Amino acid sequence: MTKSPLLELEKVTKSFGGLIAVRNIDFQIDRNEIVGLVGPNGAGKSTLLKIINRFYKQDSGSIRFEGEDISRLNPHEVCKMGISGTTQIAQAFPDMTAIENVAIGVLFGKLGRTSVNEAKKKAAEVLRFVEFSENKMETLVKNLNIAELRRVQLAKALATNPKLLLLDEVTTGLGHIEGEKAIELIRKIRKSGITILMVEHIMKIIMGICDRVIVLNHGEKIAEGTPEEVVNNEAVIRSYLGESSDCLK
Amino acid sequence: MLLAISPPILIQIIVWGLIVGCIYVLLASGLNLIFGVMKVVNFAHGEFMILGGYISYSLSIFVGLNPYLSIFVSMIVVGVLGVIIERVCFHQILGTSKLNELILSLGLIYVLQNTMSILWTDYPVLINSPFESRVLDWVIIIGITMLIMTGFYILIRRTKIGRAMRATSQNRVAAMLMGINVEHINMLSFGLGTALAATAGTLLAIITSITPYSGEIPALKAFTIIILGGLGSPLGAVIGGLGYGLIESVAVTVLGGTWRDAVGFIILILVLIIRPMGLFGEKEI
Repeated sequence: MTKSPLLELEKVTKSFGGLIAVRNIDFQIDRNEIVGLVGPNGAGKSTLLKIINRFYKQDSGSIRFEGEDISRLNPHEVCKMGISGTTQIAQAFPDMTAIENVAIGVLFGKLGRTSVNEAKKKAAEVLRFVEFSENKMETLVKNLNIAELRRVQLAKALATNPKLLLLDEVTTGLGHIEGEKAIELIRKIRKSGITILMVEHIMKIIMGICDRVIVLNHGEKIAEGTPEEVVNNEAVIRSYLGESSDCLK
Repeated sequence: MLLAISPPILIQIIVWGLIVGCIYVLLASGLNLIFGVMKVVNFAHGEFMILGGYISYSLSIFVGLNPYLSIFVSMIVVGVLGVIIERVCFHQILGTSKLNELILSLGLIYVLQNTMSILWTDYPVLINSPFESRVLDWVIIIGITMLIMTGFYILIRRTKIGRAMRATSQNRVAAMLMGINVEHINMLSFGLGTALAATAGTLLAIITSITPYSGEIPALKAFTIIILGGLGSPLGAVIGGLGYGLIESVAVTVLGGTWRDAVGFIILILVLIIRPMGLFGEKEI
């Protein structure tokens, strides 16, 4: 039996007015990979993530998840199939506690059909998994700092029980130590069997953690390969990083 | 001035204030739910209220149903109509210009008013209470409001669907990311909001006569209440509603009936100058 890839994009194009944000993007993601999506500002990285989790509808092209066409589905439908993620600006329910925030993911995600009490228990487990401090679980999210909020956001995504996790700049706003911890956490998430597609602007993080990297520039895919291959790719160096690739090392 | 009022009259002012306040609480809570979840300004909310009153009126006249029991039937009928109107009208323009919502809801006022005028004529109607004693009516009105608001509170705070409503009202994007079908939540919130308005309408038609046009001013007052209480704050809608009823009752006695509608708006202007986020709202950072 040939197993289809977890996610397949075929000739995906999306424009906003006259501006083409992504053009003819093709790629596949296999199970249990960590794939990095990089490119300069405005390259179309976040747009692509938003197309995958269905916040944006593509103009043309198709997207398949576990072999099933998801090109016409809505965000809550793909969430229930097992695609979840975080956004660049941490999204949370400010007037709910951390545990209530995460419990929403358990109640409405892929698991569904759980009681509120069970959902809260599961939410506490997920918060512990992302090493969220035990004594802040009942704190309203609007009173948390950015590092705590990032953990809650990650826990919210994990609580939906995803197969594919889309991470959009999860280390933004974090200090060096918090950033390192976030990377450890991403490794731990992969170990638990979840596939990850991450957008990240810090190349060092991408190099250290990703199995494969896809490079976008002006909405087009210009390279794909292992981090080493991408770093040495002529097209990447020329059109994205300038003449010198020192900044990658 | 208030000190010069004799105790029996003072009690009457307070009781009347509470009764009217109950109607405002129901009306404003429904409006607040719709605004909170969908961020839609529905000026036709008052017409849903009056429609609820007329449905209960017809049920009591033609079916002989106790008007207090007819509340639950009119809640369902108006709630279902609310769901249909959300689907057919508001859903189509959600996320476009605020002006579209405004004109749509203003248009709905006239569509609903004219429909009610055709069905029930423009003559004022009053639902006859099955009880002799007015005091008993007042007690029942307060009791029904408490019952419905308790049910509403439990629904919002304790149930899965209530959590989805709160989540959607606090952050739509996060709600969608976590598997909540926000379109269904919009529909349910609109239905529930209009059902609450229908309850208010039945109680209103029991204490005073209504015409198809009686909903306009109460809807504006409901807006005042949710702004006073803080937009999106459920507690604000309850305290704001009761407070508004009491203030209005005092104003009518002390200043005269001409001031009934103006006094609340004067307070609104004062509150907005002193505390723009409303009494229970929070400052946006």
